[in-house]
Amino acid sequence: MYVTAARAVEWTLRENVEIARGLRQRDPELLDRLIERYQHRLLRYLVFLTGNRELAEDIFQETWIRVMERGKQYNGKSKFDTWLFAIARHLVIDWSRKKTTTSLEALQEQYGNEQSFDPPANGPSPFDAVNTRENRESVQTALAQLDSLHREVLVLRFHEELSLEEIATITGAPLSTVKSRLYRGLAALKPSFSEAEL
Amino acid sequence: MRRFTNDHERAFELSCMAVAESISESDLRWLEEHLDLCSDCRARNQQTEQMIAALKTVSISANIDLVQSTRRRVRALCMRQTRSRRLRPVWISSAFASAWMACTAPYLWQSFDVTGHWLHIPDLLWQMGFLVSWFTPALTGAAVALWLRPQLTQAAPLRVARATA
Repeated sequence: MYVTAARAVEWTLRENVEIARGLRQRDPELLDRLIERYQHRLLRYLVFLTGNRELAEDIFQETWIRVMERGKQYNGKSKFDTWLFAIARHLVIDWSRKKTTTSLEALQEQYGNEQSFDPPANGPSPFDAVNTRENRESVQTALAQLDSLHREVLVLRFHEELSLEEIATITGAPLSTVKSRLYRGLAALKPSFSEAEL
Repeated sequence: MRRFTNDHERAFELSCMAVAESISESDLRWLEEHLDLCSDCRARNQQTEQMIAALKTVSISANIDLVQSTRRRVRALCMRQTRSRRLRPVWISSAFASAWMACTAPYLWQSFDVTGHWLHIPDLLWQMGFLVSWFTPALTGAAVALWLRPQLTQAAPLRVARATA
């Protein structure tokens, strides 16, 4: 088991180095593959972060252009997705600054409770599907009511399955802040989820 | 160390932390013991797990048009940058040629003039010699540009065609 884990780590490291090399050379084939691979995860993160699908799609494109332009800055020591999400996050902040708002919370107020989530592609069984759909709708409603900072941490941890350290890297916040946001996010999500369930 | 106002609050924070990351053995033992005794916290814990499970099922997918247009934009930018990188030697040689022509003109003219008169070469001949040596760097730059031109014009359409295919 340890050998398998060690091999997986080694493989990831090697892959990161290859990505870094490709980005330095501005390899269009590599960029194509990366867009293909991270398309859903990146868009999902942006939709959750901005609460607006159209805006998320614009920033999605800008993110990849920024990846191409600043590819030399990626050294392959950290995971590529962490770096990618950090770029996307900075673009969202830049966008919100341009719109004379100053934070992600202000963005939340602008785009508020817009529902822009699509149904999942597959469901396990009819009963589970109904049950899951109800829960999913409840959690969507609850998430939309959360502020962006808490929502972001919840999505990165439970949806993107990033570690708390990686989330801290992306958000540029200390680990303790990330933990606190996670806890507060879950605490804030719970009453809305319970109400929606009733 | 964080202070909790009561055990229920501690149990809730620990249950949140337990799903988000690993908690210490002692905290886990305390949490399990508390959940065994407190039905409210047990229900709360189940709800947290249910909520996280529901969160994981939320699906958002990028549509194909968005992905294709992103690829096209990125490739176009890639191409533009590659082209400008390839043109760099042309710009450098042009700048060098211009600087050469501007700086050396009076000295070169004077040296050809002196040499021409000293060797009794006809004026037209040494003046032509001057022009040839004066224009050599510029002609070299132009030759490099002409040599690179087919490469620049051929690389572009191939890549666009592959991206849109």
